[in-house]
Amino acid sequence: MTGRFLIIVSLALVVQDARAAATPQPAGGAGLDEVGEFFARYCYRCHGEERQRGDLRLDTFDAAGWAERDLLREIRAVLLEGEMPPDDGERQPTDDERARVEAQLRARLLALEGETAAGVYRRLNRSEYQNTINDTFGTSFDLAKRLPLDNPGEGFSNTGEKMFLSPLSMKQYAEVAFDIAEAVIPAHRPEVETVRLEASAKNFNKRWDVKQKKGGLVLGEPGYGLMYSKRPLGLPEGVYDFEIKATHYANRGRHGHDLQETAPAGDDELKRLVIYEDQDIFSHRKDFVLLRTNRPQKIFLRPENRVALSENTVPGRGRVERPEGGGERHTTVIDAIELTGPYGVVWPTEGVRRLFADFDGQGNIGDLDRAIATLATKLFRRELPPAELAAYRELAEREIERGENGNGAVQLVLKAMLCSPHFLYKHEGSGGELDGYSIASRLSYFLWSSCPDEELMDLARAGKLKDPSVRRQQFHRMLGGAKSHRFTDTFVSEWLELEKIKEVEPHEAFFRKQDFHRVKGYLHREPIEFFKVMLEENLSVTNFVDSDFAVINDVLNGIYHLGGKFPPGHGFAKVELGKGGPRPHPNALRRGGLLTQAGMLLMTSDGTVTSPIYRGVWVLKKLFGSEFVPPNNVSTLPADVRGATSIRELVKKHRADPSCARCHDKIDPVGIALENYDMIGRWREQYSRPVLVKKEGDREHFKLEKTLGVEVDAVYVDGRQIDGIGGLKEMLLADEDRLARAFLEKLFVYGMGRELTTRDEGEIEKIRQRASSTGYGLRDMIECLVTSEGFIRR
Amino acid sequence: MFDRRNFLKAAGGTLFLPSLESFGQGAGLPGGKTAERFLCIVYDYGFYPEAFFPAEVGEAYEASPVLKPLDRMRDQYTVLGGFSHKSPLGGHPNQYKILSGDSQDSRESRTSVDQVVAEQLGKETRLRNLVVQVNPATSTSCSWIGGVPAYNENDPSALFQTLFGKIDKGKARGQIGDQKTILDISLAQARSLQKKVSRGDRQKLEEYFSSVRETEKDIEKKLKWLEKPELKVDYSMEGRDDLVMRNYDFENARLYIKTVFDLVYLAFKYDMTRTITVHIPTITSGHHGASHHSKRPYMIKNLINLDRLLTTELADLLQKFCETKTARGTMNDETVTFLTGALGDANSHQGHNLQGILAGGGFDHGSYRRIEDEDICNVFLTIMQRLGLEEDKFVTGSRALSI
Repeated sequence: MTGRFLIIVSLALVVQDARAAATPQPAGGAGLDEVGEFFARYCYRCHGEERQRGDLRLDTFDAAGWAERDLLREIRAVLLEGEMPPDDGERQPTDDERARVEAQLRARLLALEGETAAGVYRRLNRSEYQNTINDTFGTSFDLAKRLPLDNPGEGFSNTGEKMFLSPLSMKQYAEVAFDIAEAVIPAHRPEVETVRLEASAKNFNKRWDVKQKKGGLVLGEPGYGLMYSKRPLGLPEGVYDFEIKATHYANRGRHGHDLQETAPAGDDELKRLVIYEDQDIFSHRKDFVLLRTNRPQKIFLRPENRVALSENTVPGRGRVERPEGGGERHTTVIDAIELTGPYGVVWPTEGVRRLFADFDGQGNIGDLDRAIATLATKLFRRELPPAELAAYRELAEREIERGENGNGAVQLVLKAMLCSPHFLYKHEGSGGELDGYSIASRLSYFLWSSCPDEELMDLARAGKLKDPSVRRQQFHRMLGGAKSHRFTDTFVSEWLELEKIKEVEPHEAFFRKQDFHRVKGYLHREPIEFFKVMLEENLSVTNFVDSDFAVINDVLNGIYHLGGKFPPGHGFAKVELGKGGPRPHPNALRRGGLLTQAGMLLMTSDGTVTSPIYRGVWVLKKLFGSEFVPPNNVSTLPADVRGATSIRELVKKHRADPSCARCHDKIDPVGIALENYDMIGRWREQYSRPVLVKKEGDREHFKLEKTLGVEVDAVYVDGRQIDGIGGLKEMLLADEDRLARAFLEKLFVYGMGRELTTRDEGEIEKIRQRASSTGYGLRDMIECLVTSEGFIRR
Repeated sequence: MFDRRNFLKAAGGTLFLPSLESFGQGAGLPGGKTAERFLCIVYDYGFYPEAFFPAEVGEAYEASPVLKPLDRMRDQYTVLGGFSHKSPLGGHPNQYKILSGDSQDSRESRTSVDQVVAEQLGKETRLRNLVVQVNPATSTSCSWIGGVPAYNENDPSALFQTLFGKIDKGKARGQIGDQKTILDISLAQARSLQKKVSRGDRQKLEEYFSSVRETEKDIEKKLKWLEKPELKVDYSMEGRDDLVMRNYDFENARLYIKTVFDLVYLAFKYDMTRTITVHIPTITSGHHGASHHSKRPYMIKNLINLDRLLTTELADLLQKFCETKTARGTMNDETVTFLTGALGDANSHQGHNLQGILAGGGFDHGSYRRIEDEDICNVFLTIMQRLGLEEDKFVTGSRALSI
């Protein structure tokens, strides 16, 4: 009896051992066999022993390949899209075969994914870090450039898989931590001091019109020039007197470049040095303090502030009134700015009082334990057991023993906390459902790019955030709040890759440099403002393709000519296009949606020539969820310099080669349909090219020469005729579900902060179906995501 | 002020160095045949091939338009052509993989040649190595340590501060102490977290660990360096504080690159580090557009101008290396400089027929050599061996070239 039992046990052990030994060798099985057969039948002729198109060889595909997630995913994608096998007259798989193999691949991917929790442990990205600090301490630090890089490639900057921490990043974190802590919790009451900031390029950044002259800075044309201190001043919180030291010069010589000193600048002159408040930089640079010389010269400064100075819009002297052809003119050169303070210091400082409740006789932090617990909960976005905070307690006590006061001790604790993995990383557990605190953080980093506020923390503590109706109510509260612009700004900008707009400038023959200068700052705003209106009015995602309104300002209207009333200061407004009305204007018919916005059309051109390829890729990737990998070792199509062959003819070459045609049969027709829009989005029916007419030194003068007529008709891969913008919109709108799914995927990746897995497909499909019943309203879509089950899992 | 209190930057900015002459004898290097410094320059889009490659190989080649500005230093470098990066992906991904070859390995194991070299050469210097990225900072790094991009600096004035800024020693000592304590606490927390997280997470947490450990090592080093006497560097950053990439601003770009090269020279001269990577994704912001010239003459003209800007500045740097005498010869003899394009032809995203300039290091220079279809990893292996690394393999490279 005993003997038999022993044998059974040892047999079981042997079996277990064999299994353990086999785990590194991925199991093949029926799935692999079926897929292998499919490859042999349909793929070997291009991906076999003789040829390896795209460097892919499938006749050697075995158990090792069967464990390669990226490879399997790619193969599945081309099958799903019907891109492979190519339609080249050879034998094609039946729909049923295709579906079976796709199902095998899907099952295999799910199995492979099942072994790991989705997503990775991820750190805060630059803007999340900065917002978390500023929202916690009520400050306005501008830290982004001093923090480690985010995901630098395509995609969202909060995707964990693409974010790294290098050995050097830790130094950057430590450096910034010290500065923040010393600014937020000063250890000692500051003395009044005078600081002189020389007006040199070392201390000040210059914008636009500011010139360096005579060792100082000249602001240039009123309203344009702006100088601002390069770094935060790091001065203790309080009121400062400021004084601008400037010298008045008379300009002599024919062009007035020869500055001759006359006298220190008088009060009147300095009074003109007032900020031009419309400058857009101030809407996003909350750390700037403006030096206004027409008021009592006092300012309130915090350590993170910078000072900024620019000339008044009121016509005064400056280039505007200078007489032609010589004569005496004047220039005011700013030499330095002197700041004296801080006066009226309250102790503890306002910032410290906001955070802590308990102070000793000198106004320093008294109850260390409480202070540490307060900071830890705020910065770590959860409550840690006291034992985990013991190290901070010891740190503070040692500091007190060394003779520091309570403020100094807590300051050091803050430095330590800002280097902690609890602060730098988001914790979402090891798999399965998130806890309340993690849900609170997921909501807040999604919609605010920042830490949870008190209300979210309370709900987390009470365990209420698992309830979808509570999340729904929070979602609406958060979206209505002031911080939600961070969602719209970041999400839209990264989804549509709006940063790329800044890389292209239209050739000056097409669009004057000075006009572009005026318009360029608004090109990336337009899609964001458009998205905001859609969100506010809960409009369907189909509006991304076509809408009966545009959201523009007066400057952009100069390109579109849609008419309308715009708020002063180049504010944006919704303009109804009235396409469905009795006599819609042709200009109105040409706009609506994202595709025809100037920024998109510029970034998909090289400034001179528009690229149907870039445009096609952009449209299909952003709106239709397609993926394309740029080809390797392939020459770009030679441009036709003389303008004798149309781009439409040129891209036809793609059809000849099936490996090109695989993607270009989709890309090219979509891009061709947009050819009526030039590189800055203006309507055109004829191409033109710049011709050099004369050269004056370095300056070249061009004129435009008309070439061919624009042709926009093309056939999409599935045989549908796309005839210009109208046809393109029609084609995209025909697959409303796909538009919605593509958008949801982007939203999901951003909201979850991780890449998609095969498992997510089901979840996204469920969310899509729910959203479909409400007509794909933008706000509803996001609500459906936030209230979904997937949202509170890793 | 922020800057004054800024401990790390400040502590990093102290200068107490013996000047170069007193080094030289180090590490028992045999008479000039081994080099001890490595400057690696990666030019993402590569030079415009038709204006770079000379028409004929050998020593009697006629300098091409792009090589012309360098030509006065002809004896000090070799023009290399034809080698390639063995990447199945090719295209733009070459830009971040150019220095790390391409194995089928996962990203986790990617370590680039400059970092392999730095591990060896960086033991005695204050900084293990420098990675300088000429704007834009948003480009992917080409320098990797175990799958993590090594990013250092793209602002020349901050770089200067790191290398040569002044500090308050007493304060720095106190702050360094605080730093150590703080990092110890963080490490302990990470250790306890590690027990609670999944496998994928553990890898990410590992990044945190190695970051903290590296920073601690750096702190140890700093404490040691604080004990050394100070030295003055005669270089003014006046007028160079505002170097950011501007659209199509050619002169600004020139000053930017010149300043970076000046700082490279100074860092070597004062032996702050012996490995420097200069990564040039683009020279001006129109560069990417120009690289896809589709054979349009005016774009090619722009491209050649940008290429020539780089070779002009490189010539000045090499000249300085040559003019700096050391105990064993010149700084140029002791320094391997290797510039490589990451794309053979940016217009077509092509990853073979790359362009290279190999200078110094005691190699036999003066000619244009075609190393047809040679794996770039073999070029790296050659350099590594010249730098005294006892390796016979680098990723896919296993054969040193005779240069």
